[in-house]
Amino acid sequence: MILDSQEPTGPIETRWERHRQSIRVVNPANKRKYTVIVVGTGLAGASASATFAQLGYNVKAFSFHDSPRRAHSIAAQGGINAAKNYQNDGDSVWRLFYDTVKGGDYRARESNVYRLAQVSVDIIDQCVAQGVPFAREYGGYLANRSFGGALVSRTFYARGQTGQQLLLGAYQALSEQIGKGKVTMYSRREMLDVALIDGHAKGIIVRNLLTGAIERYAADAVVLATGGYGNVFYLSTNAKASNVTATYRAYRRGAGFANPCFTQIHPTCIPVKGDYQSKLTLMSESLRNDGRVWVPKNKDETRDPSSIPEADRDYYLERIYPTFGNLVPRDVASRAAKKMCDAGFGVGSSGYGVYLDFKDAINRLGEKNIADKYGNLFEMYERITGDSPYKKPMMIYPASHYTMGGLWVDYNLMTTIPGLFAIGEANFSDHGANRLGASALMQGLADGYFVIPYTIGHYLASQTGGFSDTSHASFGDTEADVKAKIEKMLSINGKRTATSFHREVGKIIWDKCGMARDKAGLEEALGRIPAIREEFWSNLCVPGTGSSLNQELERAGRVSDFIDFSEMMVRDALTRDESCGAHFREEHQTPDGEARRDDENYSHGAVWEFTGDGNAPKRNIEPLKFEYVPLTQRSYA
Amino acid sequence: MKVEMRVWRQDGPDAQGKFESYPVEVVEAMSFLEALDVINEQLVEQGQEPIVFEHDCREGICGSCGAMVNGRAHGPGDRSTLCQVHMRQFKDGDVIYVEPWRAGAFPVLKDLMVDRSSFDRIIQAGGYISVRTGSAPDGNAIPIGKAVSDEAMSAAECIGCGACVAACPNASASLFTSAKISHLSLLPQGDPERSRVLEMVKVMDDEGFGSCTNHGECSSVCPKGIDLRYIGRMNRELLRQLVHPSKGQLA
Amino acid sequence: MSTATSTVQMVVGSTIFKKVVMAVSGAIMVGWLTIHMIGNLQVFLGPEVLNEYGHWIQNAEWIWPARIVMLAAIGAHIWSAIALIQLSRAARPAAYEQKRQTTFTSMAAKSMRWGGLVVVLFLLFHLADLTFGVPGASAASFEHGEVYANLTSSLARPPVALLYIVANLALGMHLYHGVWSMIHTVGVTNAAVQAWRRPLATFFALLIPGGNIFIAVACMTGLVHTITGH
Repeated sequence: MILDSQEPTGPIETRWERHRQSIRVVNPANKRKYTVIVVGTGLAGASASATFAQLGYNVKAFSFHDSPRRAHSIAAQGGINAAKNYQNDGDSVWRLFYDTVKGGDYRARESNVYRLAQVSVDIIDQCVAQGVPFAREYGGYLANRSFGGALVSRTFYARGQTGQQLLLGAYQALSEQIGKGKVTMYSRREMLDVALIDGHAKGIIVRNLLTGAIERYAADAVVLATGGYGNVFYLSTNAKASNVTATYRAYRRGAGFANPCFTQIHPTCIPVKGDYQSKLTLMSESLRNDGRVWVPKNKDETRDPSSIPEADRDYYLERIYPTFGNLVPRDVASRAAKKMCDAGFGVGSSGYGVYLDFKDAINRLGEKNIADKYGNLFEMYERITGDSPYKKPMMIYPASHYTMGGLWVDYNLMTTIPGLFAIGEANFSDHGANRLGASALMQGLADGYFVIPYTIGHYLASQTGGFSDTSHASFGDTEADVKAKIEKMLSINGKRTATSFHREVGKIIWDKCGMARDKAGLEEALGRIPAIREEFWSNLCVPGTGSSLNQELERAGRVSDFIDFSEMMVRDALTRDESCGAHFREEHQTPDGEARRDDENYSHGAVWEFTGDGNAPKRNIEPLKFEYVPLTQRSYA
Repeated sequence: MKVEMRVWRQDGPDAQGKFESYPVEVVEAMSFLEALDVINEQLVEQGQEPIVFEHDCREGICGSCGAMVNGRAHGPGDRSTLCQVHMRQFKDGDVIYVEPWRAGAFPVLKDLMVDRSSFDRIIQAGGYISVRTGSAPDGNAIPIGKAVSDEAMSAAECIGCGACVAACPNASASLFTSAKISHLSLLPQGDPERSRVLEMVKVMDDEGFGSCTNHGECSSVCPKGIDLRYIGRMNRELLRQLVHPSKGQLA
Repeated sequence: MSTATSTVQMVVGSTIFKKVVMAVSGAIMVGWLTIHMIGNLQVFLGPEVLNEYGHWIQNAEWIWPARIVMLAAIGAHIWSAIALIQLSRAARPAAYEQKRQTTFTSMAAKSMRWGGLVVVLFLLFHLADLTFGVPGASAASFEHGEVYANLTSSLARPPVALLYIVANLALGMHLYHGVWSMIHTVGVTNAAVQAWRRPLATFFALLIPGGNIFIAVACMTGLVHTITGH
């Protein structure tokens, strides 16, 4: 596998500009000869589709939802970063770039990150012009807040629903183009494979979820904007339908999959209550500004938390990290909670929860002050748990919520398959081993509005354009594979539901390849996954037929890919014999419990190559150079 | 605790539907959709087709879920989507009726799943501000008063779930349509295209939604509490076109 | 987008415009009803004053234009009501199997259709009784121009008075929702007006039926004669 990053060289400040000058451009009159398929219509997909259409390309956009507005980008709460420096607090493109590379623990490509920081400012302008109602100050100018421990206030927000408002902005831009006939929207279609012709991506095979029909669509290029794979853990804060199928099937066709083990775990989620649990809910990280995290000192504690005296409480974050206390970074807070619970100090029905207590803050600031700051979050918590955080400490536990890994892409966001692009969370490019708060929305929109609209032209200009031949043999073969898989799932007639397999594999991944990993655990997981796969293919039960609406069949297909994918993820975690960012190998930590990188051996992206069913995938590497941000060790003690 | 769910089962848009009874053991901490999950897993294990219902984020923001529960859109509780309802809001032995949204513009696709693409078509008719990517001025170039911005945001919070239509005695989409018209027309950026109201209202009518008779049911079941006053604003926008056409047009 | 001509067509063709027709025609009727009620209160000033008032109105130059406006308003109100009812029926072809719970609406809002029908039927009786003097509807002593005598003797009949009272209660309900609703429908978004919407609707809902019912009760009980001395 050739991993040519296509990165420009020279001064980083002008790389993007010089790159745009050097790449090929499709002339305006010719753009209408080209068709682009965009799969997924979240932030990245909707913004890309709308922009392609504005440029004059024909666009076919696909979503498995009923409407593009349902995409999971909608659930992002906190905000979007941009180096506007409206606060005059010294922010700059450089600082955002620096923070992102360092935050990613030096496992991202500098050129890409610098470009991301550069276009971040354009995103805000674009969104404001679309009517995104960002928070404003009394003077009528845009408001900012600091987020996730950043030293500057660069986060723009729209109440607690920034993702929703940004997505609706992109959805509306897309809707305009659909209304004008420049984008054809195919909703309730799930992409199940990519069709390659002479090694180039020239179309996709989808299942029409309403009729069950397997449909072929051809184009001159295919863009995957299908999000992350956080649901590999079964329980995560991701939407239920979020899945790895599109990217994993692209991987099976030859697209390299980079750093699958880089998954971010968010420390403040509502804990699991029972086996029936279907998903987890994120509570904003801002809660740690005033809440104190603790567990009882006594493992057999049975008292109501409010009546446990101070002497019997262990405020472990304040104890272990006296400088940062409750405000240690996400991954540190998450691991500490896991450690306390693994040691038997956890609370709640499952024993996997810790208290987040606002009693002191309420005493100090008054209930009204706390309600002003966190009222909506407290209400959300009470709605889910039935307990009021004003009266009883909250219970929290970490949960999976973002995946930094994804399809490997070059500087043009093209995967290792020519003509196949990946944008947003679906690619691996910008966050390295750990993503900063409020940067996911930024990356999705940067890719969709301001990067791929230029870079796709470079590829398209090399193609004749107008490809539309879905009767090509390659479509037939690919479709046959898709159909065979569906038929197989329907014909097993076993005893177990797809969800039960998902739960089983998810639990293994969560336990062995979650917040903290070690060699023994990873090897154990690697040993157990094949048995689950085997049982899946012999004991799965999918009622109904393939030729009609069948949600159980949709689920089964996604679970089958999660099972296969999880194996690659574990393999990646096992072979990355270092700790970095969110990838924490127990064997590699500093005395104060921080991730210890091994820059000599692992300063690279690990890119997995499919080598056929039953064969171990091949690990390729893209070496990373750090010319601008010096490599340093993080420390929060 | 044990409850009996009576769920509407309907094979397809033209099929005859009926309520099927599913007794199910639940716990109080379970969400309503998790209770449906439990029923579905049991059905699949018995080789029967599970209940089709839409859901995704399960935290009240994507707008996918929704059904009439005991005759109320999104079930008991204020300002919540169906996924935010928990079984503690019911009691042991309750019989719970679950029925899809009903409106001509929301045909039932299967069981509890309806087709809400009519909402998309309303947005496609004008629920946007035309701005070519890259042509925007600096974000701070247009100051917008906080009160106006907040009012626009309150309208923009709509999640497009369709509960307003479901709860309306007239199956009207006025609350949905007016929320988007208000959001965009309140903002200076949206001013040049204020005639959007004409196209959006036309599509709303053409899709076969009913008219608003100000019952306020829509707003009271709206998970985001979108206020009725936006309907007044939509009407104003429409009438305004008679006397004061958009800046984008020549009078 | 649309040209100036089609703007008018699009506005006029919309369901919202039907609502506006209903609101505006309703507002005209509210104005008329208020004047009508206040005018009728002159019954307490005695036959001379009321008959003089009636005579003045009958011979006023504006009476036919006013009647035409009223008839048009009534017609438009009924037309838009029927059109909107049909739209609503069509908008939900399959009814809910389980009764839809209501969470916000009022009795008044729910009774708009039936209440409106009661008012229309009452209006026909009222015209027959006191305007046209249709035998059977009017009091036996009905005589054109004798406004005071016609009114007091008609309402001296308890069943008729009761009918007036019931119809006015229905009218009150209709106004309670109608006035509140019309301000909204015509797109008044001013916050101060919004805040006065409910009190204003309540005011009209009490004022008009209150005055009318007072007259009916006074006639039925003979109180009117005590007051006027006739």
